[in-house]
Amino acid sequence: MEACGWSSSRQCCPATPPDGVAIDEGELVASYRRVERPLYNALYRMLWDAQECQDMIHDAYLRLWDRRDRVDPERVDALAWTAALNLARNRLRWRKLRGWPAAPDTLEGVAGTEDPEAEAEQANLHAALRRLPVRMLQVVLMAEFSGMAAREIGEVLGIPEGTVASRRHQAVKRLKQWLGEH
Amino acid sequence: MDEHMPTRALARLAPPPGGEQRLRAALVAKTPSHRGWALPLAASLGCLCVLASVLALRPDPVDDRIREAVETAMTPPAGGIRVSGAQVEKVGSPDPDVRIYRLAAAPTR
Repeated sequence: MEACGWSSSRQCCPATPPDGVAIDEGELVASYRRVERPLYNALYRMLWDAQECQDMIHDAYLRLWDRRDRVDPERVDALAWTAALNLARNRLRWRKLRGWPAAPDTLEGVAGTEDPEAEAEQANLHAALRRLPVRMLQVVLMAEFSGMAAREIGEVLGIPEGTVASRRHQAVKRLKQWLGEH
Repeated sequence: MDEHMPTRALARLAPPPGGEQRLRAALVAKTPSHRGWALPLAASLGCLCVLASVLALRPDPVDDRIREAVETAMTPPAGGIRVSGAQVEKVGSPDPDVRIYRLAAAPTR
């Protein structure tokens, strides 16, 4: 059960707040400020489309707003990650079903793209990430950008902490292999 | 998680500008949606109340026709009542304001 989504089950979605807890607009926007950049960095390495990534983050926060009466203010960031990653995963599934061509890696916004070596390193890394299964990709990207511990990543993705560790280990092993590191 | 991460070399990208403003605008657009249906609903209820009042206060056309017929029947003709081809016989009335006549066909010859 990876997709936590918005189930009301506390086991699936520990972020379900107690009755009477809700967020206001200020808390939502504050969360957006905290999460936008790391979430964008993670989503970009899944979708490879800057505008689409921003749309996903936007839609994720609108979903949170629609359910604001049931959102615990302390869990807004985690729920934003969950919603955005679910949207991104659905988008990837949609692309695959329709034979959508993979978006080109434009290295948009990458600092130092004037440096051929740095550009080549990023391009290689991106190419390796594209080869990872989505379930592993999400784990390594969250570990890299979210600043969350394995337990929190597990809560966001709806998987046990041990599964987070094993997927991350597998992902790192494959990336090192593809990048020629040992 | 102290394992060396190849992803550590990933560049930190800046998201496209304007995301927060877009979100704020969307929240503003969503918030009045509560009033968005409340206003038409209130207007509809107001119209219903006005319509019900108009219907309740409007005079019944059937009542008007009956009242007109009664008034016509009660109003005496301007030139009085003239009877021809019949015999008129006055009948006594207990009320001095009421005069009663009996009409009988004139005998034929």
